[in-house]
Amino acid sequence: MRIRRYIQGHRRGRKANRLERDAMRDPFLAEALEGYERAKEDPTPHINILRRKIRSRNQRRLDVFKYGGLAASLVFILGFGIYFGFHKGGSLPEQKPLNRMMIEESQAADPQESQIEPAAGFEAYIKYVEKEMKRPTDACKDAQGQVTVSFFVDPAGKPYDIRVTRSLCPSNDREAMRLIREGPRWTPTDEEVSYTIEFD
Amino acid sequence: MRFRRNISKLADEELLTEYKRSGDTAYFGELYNRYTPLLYGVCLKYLKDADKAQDAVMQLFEQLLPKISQYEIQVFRTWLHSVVKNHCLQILRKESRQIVVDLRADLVESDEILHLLEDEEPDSERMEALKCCMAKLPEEQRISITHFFIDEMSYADIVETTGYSLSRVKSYIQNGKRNLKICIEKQMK
Repeated sequence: MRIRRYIQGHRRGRKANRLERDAMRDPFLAEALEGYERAKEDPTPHINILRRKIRSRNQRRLDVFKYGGLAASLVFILGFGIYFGFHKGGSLPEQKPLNRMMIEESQAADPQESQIEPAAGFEAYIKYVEKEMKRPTDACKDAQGQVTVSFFVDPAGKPYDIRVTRSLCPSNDREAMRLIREGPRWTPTDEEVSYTIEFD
Repeated sequence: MRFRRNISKLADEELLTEYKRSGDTAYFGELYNRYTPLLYGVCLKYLKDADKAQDAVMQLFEQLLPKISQYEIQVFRTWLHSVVKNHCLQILRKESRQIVVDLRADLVESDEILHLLEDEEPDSERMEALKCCMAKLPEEQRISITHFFIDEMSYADIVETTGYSLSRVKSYIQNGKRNLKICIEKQMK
């Protein structure tokens, strides 16, 4: 994940520049980067802890339902709490902040499978291309074949830096770029995406 | 878990739908986890404390888990951003701290100027106007913008090359963009 490397302090080069430019279009990213700017130490261990806790929260809930002891556990815990409350003068024990856990974490990266595809799937995207394609009416009107475009996807899912890597005919190329630029969102990714449009 | 492999391929909105349909927290957990770096960062910005920020991210998760099925959400990412912001502001209000409101409206610019600078604009008239307006910029702004958009140098790269401080590089770029926008609009009339 590009943002991880950036917040760990790798802020040089084209990839860092790209992330910074993304932040100009994406207020969510911009605010997050602002937050990390003031971080004195590497925040990735904290992020890993958060992720782990959220994931384990899921499993705990599933297990509890599986074993059906939820109701019983609740009654037990409540009873306990009230018992102690009475004895200690009525106040419930102060809730410990959730992060004060002693965990030895390795800084293992958190792998995430990223699928490069339109947000609504390829099927819907292909339908969009077929529906919205405006075939050239100029000198390119009889051109048949493929145009391959390459582009990056910003955090909002919008393509940018669109370029033609396989050309057919100028008007077809322009139309392909237009379809991508004005089309549905893609799942955000750091990788450059390649997509081929057929003109027949 | 067997089905983690599958659910990580689903889009945000699909995960949300599946969660609403099945009530299985693994879907929402997967979705929320995609955003933990951004969520934590935003909480750091507002709460200015690592422990408080972590607590805030976990609290928000617990709050959203039961309630999210009730909302009609178009774009999850955008929605989540405003939710986490409000969550942080609520926390600050409870602490009775003075909330410093960021009046910098230029946090996110319109796309036009960015398109031009990133050379995506097919309109050659505007590109000509851009060239002309670039030449009119104050030197530091022109240098910073050229380095950032044309040479694709990061802020840290530019700091090293020019000797300007990080905050000055950012403000040269922000102000430069604004000046370019005004100049180009004048030119196009």
